[in-house]
Amino acid sequence: MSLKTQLKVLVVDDMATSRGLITMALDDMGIENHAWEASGQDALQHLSKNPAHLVISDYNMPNGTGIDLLRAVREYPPLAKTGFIIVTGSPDERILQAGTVLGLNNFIKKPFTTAQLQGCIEKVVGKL
Amino acid sequence: MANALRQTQPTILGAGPGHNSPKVSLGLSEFKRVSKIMKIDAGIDLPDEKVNLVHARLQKRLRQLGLSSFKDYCDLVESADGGQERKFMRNALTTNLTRFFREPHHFKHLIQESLPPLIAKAKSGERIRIWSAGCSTGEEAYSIASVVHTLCPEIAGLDFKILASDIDNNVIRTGHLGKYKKSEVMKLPVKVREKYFTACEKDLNTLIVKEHLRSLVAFRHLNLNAKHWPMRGKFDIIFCRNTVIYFDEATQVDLWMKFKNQMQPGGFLYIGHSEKLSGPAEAAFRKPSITVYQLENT
Repeated sequence: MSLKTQLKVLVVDDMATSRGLITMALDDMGIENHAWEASGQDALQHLSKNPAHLVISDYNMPNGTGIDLLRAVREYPPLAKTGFIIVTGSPDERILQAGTVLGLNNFIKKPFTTAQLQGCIEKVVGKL
Repeated sequence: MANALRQTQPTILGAGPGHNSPKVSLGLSEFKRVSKIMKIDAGIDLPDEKVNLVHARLQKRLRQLGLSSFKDYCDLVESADGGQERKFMRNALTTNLTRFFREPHHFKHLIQESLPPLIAKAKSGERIRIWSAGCSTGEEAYSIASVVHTLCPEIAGLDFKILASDIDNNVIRTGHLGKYKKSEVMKLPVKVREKYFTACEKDLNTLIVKEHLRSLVAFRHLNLNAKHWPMRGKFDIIFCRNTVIYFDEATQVDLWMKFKNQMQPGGFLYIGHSEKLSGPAEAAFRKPSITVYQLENT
């Protein structure tokens, strides 16, 4: 069984459009097993019931940033090892520094192509 | 599937830099004998992939002893007379294992027993000094500093300092810079990481100890074996773990005495898991916990 059919991904983004761009890119790559939530809090609840291998989260969300979600995931032992990618329009130094300290696995700058997102995911989970 | 996710796996022993190709081979059965001893003596698990590391660390020793096989070496270590060599092996396989919070029971003792009264003293204006002797790259000193800071966030404004000393100027420099591999720092709890580390702008695989913690520690070159130590003041706590073991018995006796003379009455001395006070200094201490010594008040 290939990695792409096994991999469980949770997409977190408050904006339906950008969420759609990510999930469509995942479909294009052949990653079938993905779900989404619109906020960090919902994502955390989702993950506690259905753990994922990888979270792809937007940085800029109204109720808690992607970094806040990353922190919560890393602090909760059953989820602590979940792969984590942050999507951001402007990857500024402070986000990256905070992410690095928390064990962010990778980030991607908007806008991105499917190939770029795939490359970004492969750096975390290995070749798809 | 879980393995498909690349994660930073903690390793017990960091493999040293490039070792030369083996001359004496280390078979699986001998490796198992070594790992069994390490488990018993030091509580360390050596998974099979550590075979090269064990080989690299011990083959020089085999040459020194004039032994031609690891089987002979294992026989020696396991023999009734092999105690000294057993100790040597344990240290050869644990040296440079400068993890943060190495030997957690020491830090537990630090938090619960030795630090609270000292912090109270510091708050009342007294001078408090801690020494990390043989500090290597500084993980121990920063572990102590983080514990102190957690117990007393205003510590930087008090008369408090940690001296971190080593004979090796290179490790002193690393410690002073406070730069550590991300993979090492990731083993620490999230809260500790966020509070005390910041990412290095130029290199996202390196994390730096935050300035407010670094300012608590002074790194200095010091040869423990020097006739006189340059410090005038006495220490409330000394950590000297897995350093004294490298000196011969007479020097060890000497060193324990020098440490004793450099300590405040009631002060604590933390030593390595395979070490033991010896000589006349020993009588001046009580032993409240394993490898923890307290200098009597008289």
